[in-house]
Amino acid sequence: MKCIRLRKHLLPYAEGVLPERLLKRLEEHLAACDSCTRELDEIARTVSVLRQTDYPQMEPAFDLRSRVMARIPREPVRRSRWAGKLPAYSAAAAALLVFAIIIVAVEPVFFPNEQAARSPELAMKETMPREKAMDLEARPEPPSKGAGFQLGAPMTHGGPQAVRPTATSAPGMKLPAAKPSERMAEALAPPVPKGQDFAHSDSAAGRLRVGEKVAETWALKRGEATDTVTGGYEMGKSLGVESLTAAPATPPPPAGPSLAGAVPEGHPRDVAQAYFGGTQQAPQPAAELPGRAEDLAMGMGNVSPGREARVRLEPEKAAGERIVVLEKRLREFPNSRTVLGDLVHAYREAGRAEDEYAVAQRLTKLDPENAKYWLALAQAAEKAKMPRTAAAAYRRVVELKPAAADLELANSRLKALEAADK
Amino acid sequence: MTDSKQNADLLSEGSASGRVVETAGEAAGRLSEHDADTELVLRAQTGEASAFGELIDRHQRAVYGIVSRMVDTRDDADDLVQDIFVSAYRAIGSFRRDAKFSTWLHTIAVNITLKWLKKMKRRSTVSIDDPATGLASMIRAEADPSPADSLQQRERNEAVRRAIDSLSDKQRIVVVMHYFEQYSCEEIAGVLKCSVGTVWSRLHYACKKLRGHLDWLEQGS
Repeated sequence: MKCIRLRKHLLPYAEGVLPERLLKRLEEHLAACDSCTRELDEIARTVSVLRQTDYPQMEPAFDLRSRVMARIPREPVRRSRWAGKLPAYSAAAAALLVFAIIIVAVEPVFFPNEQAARSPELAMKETMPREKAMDLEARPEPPSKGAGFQLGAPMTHGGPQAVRPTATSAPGMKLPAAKPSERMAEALAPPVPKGQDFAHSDSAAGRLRVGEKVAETWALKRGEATDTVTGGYEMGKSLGVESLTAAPATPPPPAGPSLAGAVPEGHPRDVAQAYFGGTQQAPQPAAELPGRAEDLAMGMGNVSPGREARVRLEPEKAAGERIVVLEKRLREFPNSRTVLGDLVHAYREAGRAEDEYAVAQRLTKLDPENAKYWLALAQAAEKAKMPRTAAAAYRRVVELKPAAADLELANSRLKALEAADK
Repeated sequence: MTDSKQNADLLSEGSASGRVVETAGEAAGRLSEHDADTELVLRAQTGEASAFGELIDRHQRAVYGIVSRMVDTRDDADDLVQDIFVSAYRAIGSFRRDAKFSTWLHTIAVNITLKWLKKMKRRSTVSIDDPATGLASMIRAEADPSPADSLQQRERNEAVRRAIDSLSDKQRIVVVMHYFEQYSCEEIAGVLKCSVGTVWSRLHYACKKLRGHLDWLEQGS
């Protein structure tokens, strides 16, 4: 077996977790391959170094819990509506999508039937050969209905689908016969009004068709078949399609449902709802969604706010509480320099200079090379009225060559103490 | 045998033949901890903040174990751990109790830490000894000094830490979790939501990269 296939098993082998079957195979290979043996040796040594390395972690902050609890919102946790139901919802969504695709795909099949039910002429045209149908389409419209597309016209004359615009429907004009491929394309295309470009390109006109369908469906159910087109007209009017069309031959009936008010856009359900006087539910503002307001107020959408949102206790109160916690913690970890360091700060905040000095002294004993500890000791000694000790500690800070700011501070305090001593 | 088959074998048998054998007592302890976590999570999901506080107490050390070895300063570690627990509280409603709470929490911890590191883009190998941050002394501070902790050993440890810092974030997190937090590769895969093979691969490349940095240690010893 090639080395490249086995090398990825060298680390599990070095750690002793390689399965038996692979173990035997790898060992056979290693016996015959110097390159892989060397690689294994190097990996094993690296793992050994890592295993021997002491990489201690930081102690958790003593007040982590209180800080987190101060940041979390005071509201019951809402169990996600999706928790455990995701597969079911996914399946439902997939089924809905498939259904929608099927509906779109079979639309050309459904619509001719509907139109046929409304218009025997259209039905006849759709069933006859294409050439004959084109002849029929090229025939002039009855004079009473005007030459152009009558958007508001009743469907008794074939409806919009059966009518061509004036420019292409001159009397006696023959349209060129479509090629077989074009016929196929047309047969597959949705039955939109041919020659009316706005119906293809304008989304408002597209909505007009949707509104018309929905309105028709509902009107048929309610026995208002004569007003079916009016709904579409009103819809188109409110959406600005009116300007693209000729004036309606017959004005829309005054009675009956109207979409003159606010028209819901988009979903046919909304159109139908508004058309029949249904109440439309207002969209819920984002800020009113559960938990959202709190997120916004804290600037915490999905992004954590960082240290700006850290909540600290009041200084006086915090120092006392922290001292209690830290002293307890110090009993558990007597040599933890983190706890001792925090304790120095806490004593400093509480104004307990002697205690601060004592703890700082412990720190300098634990790590005599740490300039920060000596600086803390010097400051504590100053507060505890021990100027000579403080001066000595500052001198030690200077000797240890700390960061520039600490060095500057130590030098300035040292000068001040020496001047005061003189 | 194909690579994928071999990988599958490795995944299925790797844990079984692991050298760390869990005793019955340890397994029972682990299960009871899992049960205790589950109960606390249930209470936290009903809005009982104190239950979540107990979860913080139980898991803060493990979270610090990962985070503190990935960032440079104590402040950053504190802030990140806070963010992790706040995020966990906000998302606890979506926690499915068929998973282990610790795995779920550590996934949040790793994701938030990696996201933060990506944002900061300022990891440097020298910062560990930066006097301004003093992380090295902080890290050392947690280990009780003992006579055996010689200067040579400390230098060696710091050299290894620097070498680990030079790894990419994704390699570093698996190295930290596997070699310093004692996670098995299966557990890491569960936390990182990747395959066990990917975890082994990252460890392998991390070891190869570390080898270059640690050669002098081998020569020295």
